[in-house]
Amino acid sequence: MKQLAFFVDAAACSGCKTCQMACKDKHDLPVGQLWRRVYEVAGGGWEARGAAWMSSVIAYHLSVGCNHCERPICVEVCPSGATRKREDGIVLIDGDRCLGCGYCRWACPYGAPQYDERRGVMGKCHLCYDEIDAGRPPICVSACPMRALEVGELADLRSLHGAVADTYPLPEQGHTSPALVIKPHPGATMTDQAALSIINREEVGREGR
Amino acid sequence: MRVDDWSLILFTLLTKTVVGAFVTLAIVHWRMSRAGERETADGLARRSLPLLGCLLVLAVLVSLAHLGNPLRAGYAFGNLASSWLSREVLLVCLVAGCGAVLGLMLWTSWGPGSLRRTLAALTGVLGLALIFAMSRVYMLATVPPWDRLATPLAFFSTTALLGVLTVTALVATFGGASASEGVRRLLHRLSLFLLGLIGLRLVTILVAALPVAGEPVSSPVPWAPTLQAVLLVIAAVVLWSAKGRERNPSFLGVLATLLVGGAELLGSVLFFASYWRVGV
Repeated sequence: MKQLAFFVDAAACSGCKTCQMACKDKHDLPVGQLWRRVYEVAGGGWEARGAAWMSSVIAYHLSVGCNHCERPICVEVCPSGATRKREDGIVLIDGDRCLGCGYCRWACPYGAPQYDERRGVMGKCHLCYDEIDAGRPPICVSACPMRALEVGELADLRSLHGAVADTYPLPEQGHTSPALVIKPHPGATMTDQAALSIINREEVGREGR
Repeated sequence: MRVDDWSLILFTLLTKTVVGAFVTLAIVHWRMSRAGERETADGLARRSLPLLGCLLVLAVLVSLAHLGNPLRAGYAFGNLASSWLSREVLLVCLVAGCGAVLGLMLWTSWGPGSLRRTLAALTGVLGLALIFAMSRVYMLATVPPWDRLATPLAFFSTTALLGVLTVTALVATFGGASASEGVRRLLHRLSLFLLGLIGLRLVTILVAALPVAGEPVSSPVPWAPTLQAVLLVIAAVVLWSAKGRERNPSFLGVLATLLVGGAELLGSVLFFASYWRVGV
């Protein structure tokens, strides 16, 4: 089965958030909703190494939308069947069938489904399927000035870039098998994850109940 | 707490009460019938079922408040293959439907007794299946505090506790307690059973209070489970002191009901407040 996926080059991402804004603009999202979020991650400090004090401070950005998981928990739990997976692996919410119960929001470990108070339904990144169907990349990919985002076949992306999909702050990928490939920022692999934190929590919010 | 939280808290509590009371009522009816008090048992069931039906309808109406689009609630049957929420909605409807038919049969004295007993047993089984489905709704693999055995244990013990307490009140109100020695004995047994259920509920509170690996923050109200347990222990003491009193035990019964009801409401609030999910 075909499975479209995102590739995120976190080592190249400058954190400009053009992807986030382009997505918000294209989909006319209200204040408080971001279908693509850029997490600002930072950590480290001064460390004693022998007689010297060395700085281990690191910071990086990670751009995350819906990962159109191979085993999408949102599709599994949705009571109405409004959330479904297309032939090409894109996970969609049918706004005309959604009850707005928010169950998918409870379950998704990426905080992708978000409640749209204007319509009383859930919404999320649908990989700009209209652009995909027209043979163009999603708006976030087109907009990225660093070319840090790509979309393609999951198998192809993995053969090119490896199979990492769970650098901090993302959960381990066993929960839902996200269709995501990350080239981690060097700081994400060199630093103890317990020393890292999201420093723009107010901006990216915390989906859930 | 948010409006949709309260909607779900009230829905789960009311549904557990109705299912627990229905199953207990069915057992009480069976025992009383065997003891030669079928008339009293039928009277109790006839008066109680409409009340339980109203409570279940109220629960369903309250649950609609957490939907962004309540008018689309009919779509909730759309994913029975994999969604426990879909299965829960279907089971609520089946329990309400079977209960309504049974109530009508009792009120109109229509149909043979064997058919009524079969329908009552079916409704009870569907009710227990509903409580199981309801607990599974919350057992999400990405929500560790809810995805453990304590969740169904707590749901079933609450169902039994609230159900037996409700039926104790119904028997005392509708059962003609002053006229029947059998009913008095039944009330006594139900009180003893309640004490055992309170013990079981205390165990589930203890299990649910155990920390989960990876929990990011501790509870802002760590004393709340202790308060819940204390309320239940006081209720047990009240029930114990009431059981020997032949005359006018209603004040102590009401007090025990308020204590258990308060403890279960607090327990539901704590359950929803314990939510945290893995990931971002």
